[in-house]
Amino acid sequence: MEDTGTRLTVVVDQSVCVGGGQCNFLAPEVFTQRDEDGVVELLDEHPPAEMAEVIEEAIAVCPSRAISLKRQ
Amino acid sequence: MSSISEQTTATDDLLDFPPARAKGRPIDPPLELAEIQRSECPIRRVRIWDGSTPWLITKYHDYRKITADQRFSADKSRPGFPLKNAGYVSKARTFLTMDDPEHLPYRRLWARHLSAKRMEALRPRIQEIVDKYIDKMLAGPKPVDFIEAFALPVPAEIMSELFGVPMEDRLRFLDLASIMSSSNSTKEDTANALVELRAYAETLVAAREAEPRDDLITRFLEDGVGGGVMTREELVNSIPGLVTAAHDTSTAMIALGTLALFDHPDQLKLLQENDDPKFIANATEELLRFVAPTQTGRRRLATADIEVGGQLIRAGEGVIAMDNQSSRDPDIFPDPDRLDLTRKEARRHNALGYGTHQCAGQSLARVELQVVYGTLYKRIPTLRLAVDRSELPFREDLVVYLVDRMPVTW
Repeated sequence: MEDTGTRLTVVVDQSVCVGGGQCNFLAPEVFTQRDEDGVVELLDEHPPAEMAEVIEEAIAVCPSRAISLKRQ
Repeated sequence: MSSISEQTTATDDLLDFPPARAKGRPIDPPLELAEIQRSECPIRRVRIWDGSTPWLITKYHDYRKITADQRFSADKSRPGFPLKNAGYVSKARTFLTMDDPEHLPYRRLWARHLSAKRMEALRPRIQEIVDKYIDKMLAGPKPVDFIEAFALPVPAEIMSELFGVPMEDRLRFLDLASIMSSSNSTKEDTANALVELRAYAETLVAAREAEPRDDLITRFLEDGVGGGVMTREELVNSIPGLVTAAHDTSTAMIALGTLALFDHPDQLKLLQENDDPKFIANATEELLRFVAPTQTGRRRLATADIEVGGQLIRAGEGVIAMDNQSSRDPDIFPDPDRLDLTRKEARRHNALGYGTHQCAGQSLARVELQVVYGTLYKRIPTLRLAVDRSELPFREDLVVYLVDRMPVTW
């Protein structure tokens, strides 16, 4: 963690999620869909820094703008 | 009131929508759309079948703004709503034409049963179905109609298993659905088709009530109707639209995607030589972007005065947001009219819509198309058209762009 100097924090807004599932396809290590309603669920809130690009892609394609990423 | 007079004097110059596709360029959206998109004034009124003049949206960001904003209503019963065709009027109200928050519980019921994980779990079965129809094609005579031999039965069989619609009923079902969707159908045609479709859906639901099975209709009866999300009548009403949505779109993507690859032998070769699931997934997104088969656009009605791309759209005015042309916006996709299976931003397309109404079956579509594109051209490497493409009967009258017959050989 020290060598990259960046800590990623993924935030999802379950209240707006429509369960498109694209985040799950892109990064199944980070995102899944709840069994009961298909709504996004985080598997890894702090994924490794090298996943930043694929998470940015999930943000770009999310139809309900339910995902955001903080870099600290 | 000046806006009304402006509109009245200007209607003579308006583009009749949809314009025809250019001869010799069957996969490209009508060229007029690209001209409008790439002009100084990309948001314009067009004239549709009933004489009304909604706004046409072809720019990527404008498309996304409209489809993500609930003030642009999908409720087709609102006065002034830009209807797709005469049949669209009489279709029952389903979650497809509801706005949030009313829409969301229905949507989540579908998302539950069509989630990426659940659809991913179907991949081995989908692979078996795809292989079975390739085996059949290879064992049969050639040339053969690719639609009848492959592009139609593959999604049909997957859908039949998922929804529990018997394969033997699907042809009549599809005929009726096509009547509902066609701009050539009269009001009487669509009314008759609707009666028969409803009766069929009613029979299916009644059969699952009597004898539950492991299929979507049974699960919707249990969770949806049983769970108080939807009424039994709403379930019956939603079946025709969803079964056809699962069908036409996949058939179109398989047939027209294949045709697009025939036009781009270098890209076809990439698919034949590459086994990397990530590449095949990206190639699938690029084919979705390039073909984007829903040709009538997403229809909405403004419920407030809203500025989009510098144009004020007033409450009560209709908009038509184009999946196909907005997925070819050069601001987002460099050299947008080129098919490039390695395109980095491919999956940002609008082929499956955007916002709360983005395709509920998209995970199924992805798995299905990835299996087809990843398998077909490897197993039949010399697959090609058996007729001149000018002989192909394209269907510009349907909501989903299709080709009725596509003779191929190998």
